[in-house]
Amino acid sequence: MLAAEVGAGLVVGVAAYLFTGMPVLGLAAAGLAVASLVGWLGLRSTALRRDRQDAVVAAVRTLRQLLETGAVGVAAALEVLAERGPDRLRREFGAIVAAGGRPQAWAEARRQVAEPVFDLLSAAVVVQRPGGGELGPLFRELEESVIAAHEVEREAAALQVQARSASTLILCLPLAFLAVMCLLRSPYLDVYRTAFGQLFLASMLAVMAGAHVLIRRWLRLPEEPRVELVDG
Amino acid sequence: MADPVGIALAASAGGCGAVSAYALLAPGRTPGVREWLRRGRRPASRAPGALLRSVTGVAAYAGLRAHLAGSLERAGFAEQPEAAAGLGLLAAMAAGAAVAVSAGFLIDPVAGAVSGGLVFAAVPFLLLRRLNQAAEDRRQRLLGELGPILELVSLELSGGAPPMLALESVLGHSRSELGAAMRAQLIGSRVAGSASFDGRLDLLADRLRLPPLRAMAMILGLSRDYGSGVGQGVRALAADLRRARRRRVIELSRGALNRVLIPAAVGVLLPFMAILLFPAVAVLLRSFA
Repeated sequence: MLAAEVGAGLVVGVAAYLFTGMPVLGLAAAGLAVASLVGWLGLRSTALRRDRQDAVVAAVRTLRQLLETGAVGVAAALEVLAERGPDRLRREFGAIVAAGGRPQAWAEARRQVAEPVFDLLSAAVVVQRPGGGELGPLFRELEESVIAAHEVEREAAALQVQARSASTLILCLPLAFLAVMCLLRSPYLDVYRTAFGQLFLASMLAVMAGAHVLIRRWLRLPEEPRVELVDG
Repeated sequence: MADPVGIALAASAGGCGAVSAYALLAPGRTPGVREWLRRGRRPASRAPGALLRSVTGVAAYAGLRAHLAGSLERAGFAEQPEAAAGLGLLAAMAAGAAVAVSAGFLIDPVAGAVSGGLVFAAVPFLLLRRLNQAAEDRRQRLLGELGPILELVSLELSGGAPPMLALESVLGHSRSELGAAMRAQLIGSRVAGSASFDGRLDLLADRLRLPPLRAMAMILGLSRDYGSGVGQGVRALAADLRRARRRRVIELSRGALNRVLIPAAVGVLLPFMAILLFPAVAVLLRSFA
């Protein structure tokens, strides 16, 4: 992936330099290409993460429903999940069932799923086993609170898209303006072809990029911490 | 060729500095029996380091030290308050000196002195702000770790386990920072003659500023003294923590747009306008010249 990012940056940067004749704009375009690729990968990773979160909540719901019927125990409910549970988690539940529900199998599944709710599900099953305990009420509360929390987080993320998009748009505007002026061979940009002009343009673009990075950082929402458990 | 007057001045300045440092920092000497007998009723002479000790003996110093020690502990640092304060002071002096020298060379000595002084005053403030932020981040992380612990304890309690056994079982499975701290208190409370677990938990909650942990200590204390139920209280506490987290996310997301307004205006819009107008301004300046 790093090679793709470097390659995209190089190609776009060289093309922008050849098109505008300004090294600073070449560098800025290369940076923009890398950032776009990273942003696209980030979007894909967020979508995958949301799918995984939904799958974990669905697994908790199924497990709770099965346990509340009283007809099956935890081990049998896990087998049902491995066969008919959410697609994204069937492999993990299958591995847990195959290992006889050993803590090491749960630890491996936790590493693969990497979701705080799955951590808690795993902790509840591992802790509950020796002494018994009612998993049903715990899973019901967990399901309700997690669904509510996911709803809030997604709503918040949707609200922040506005601020992020505005910042990205303003960041791209000067580059678009300079590209159009270069295309029109405008003498207005002659001052940017001097060393001082290049320095000024580089510093202004650096300030804008820095502010954009800071804004994205400040808009980040706090993540739910993982539940750290003793493996084995 | 070295100037003898300059060398003498430098040597005397160095000597004065060394003597002052010795007077301030040298450890106090414990008088022996022979010296004490020889001194009789006369007062003892001021030992080197007495100045520093007279400063550290003031009540306000003890308060400040306790405050800094508390902040450092909450932020998760194990440094002594004096060492942290000394490092902060050194950083402030270095930053102030660097800015003063740079500004002195680039602009003029007065500007250098003023900017150096400002930076020297600002660095400790920024460091303290950073320390408080680190403490708040850690507090939020520990609160996040407390929720699952409470949920698992309520699960164990629903299986009929007594409260302390339930807690011990859950803490035995937990690898989190808060779990380790609570486990240490649990082990400490088992030592004969030491305070009870809920008392120790209360102190831990006070040190880490975690009100839900204090509520848990209260539930355990009430259960021990009056035999009240623990399961319901612990489950309600866990639900409260989840609701509090949800409220925090809502609060942060609602405030986010306001928080980024000024950085967006200053850091993004202003440079954008500068890029647009720079060629026009450059042409104007050239024509005026």
